[in-house]
Amino acid sequence: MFKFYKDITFYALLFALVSIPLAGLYGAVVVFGIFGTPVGLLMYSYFHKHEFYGYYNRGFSRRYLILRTWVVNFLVSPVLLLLVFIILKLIGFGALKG
Amino acid sequence: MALLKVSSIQKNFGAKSILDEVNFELKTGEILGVFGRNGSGKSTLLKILFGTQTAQAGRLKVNERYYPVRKSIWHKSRIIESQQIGYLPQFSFLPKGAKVWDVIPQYLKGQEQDLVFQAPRMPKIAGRKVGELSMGERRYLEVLLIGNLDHPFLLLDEPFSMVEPLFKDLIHEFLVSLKAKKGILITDHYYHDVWQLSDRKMVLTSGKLTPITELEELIKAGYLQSIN
Repeated sequence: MFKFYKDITFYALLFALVSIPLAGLYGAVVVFGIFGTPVGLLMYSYFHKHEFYGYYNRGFSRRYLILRTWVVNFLVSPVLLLLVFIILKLIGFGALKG
Repeated sequence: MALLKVSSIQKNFGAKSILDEVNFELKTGEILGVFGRNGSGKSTLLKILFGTQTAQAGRLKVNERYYPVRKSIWHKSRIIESQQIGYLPQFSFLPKGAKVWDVIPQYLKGQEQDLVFQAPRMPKIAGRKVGELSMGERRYLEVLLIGNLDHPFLLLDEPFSMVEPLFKDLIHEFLVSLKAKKGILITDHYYHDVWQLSDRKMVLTSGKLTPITELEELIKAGYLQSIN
């Protein structure tokens, strides 16, 4: 289950990273939290489609895997937003001081 | 003893009927061999039973519990969550970049892992990446992983396909050892292997699953031209 989360989140983060020029840093975090998992799932279905059968055999349905991953990433995104906010503030503070 | 009862499976692709009122029973302690030409619906049947393919009608009963087939992709697959049926697909499903010794703990916990780690030939391949294994080694590993899970029933789609004789024999031996606690449905075009392994045989033609007892019946069913 954790491997699935890791694989999907890797693609979700990649997508969020690519969206920075358009959405900005805060927007990219929102993109990660809301759209990251569906995009990650699309990529996973393209590159690792057959691996789903390993999870099915262990009793994890596709619905369960996707929902769990989406909920975790959705809950992680406010923490990421806060982190980005703090980092930007610190950078801004440093620039003012400098 | 557990009993899997499959009733009235109906599957159409558009106007074409693939499975027409398919019924059979499988109990733990037996191996059922299913024969059929390419496109006859063998893999489709297995996927329907496992819950990854939809069907127009049908239901499964494991002991006293009913599991309707999924009629649309939005329906929840109860059979997967119940872990009553294990399924070996035709294709490899293990992550190619992962090492064998990292894959095994994802499937089995604690001492159960030894069932795979200490299986014949496994110590030699445990340190290699899945993508570096030969077809036979990979298939053997997959059969060991799925076979050692707790499902009372096992569906095997082409376990011998492209597998070298050495690993074919190991898979044979493993399946025979599993028979004591599982009911196994097996389908493969290596029909001698399936015939030799199975206690009961059925052939799928024109969407119907019919019991057979003699190899000659595979000729009548249009599956074989002659017996080698």
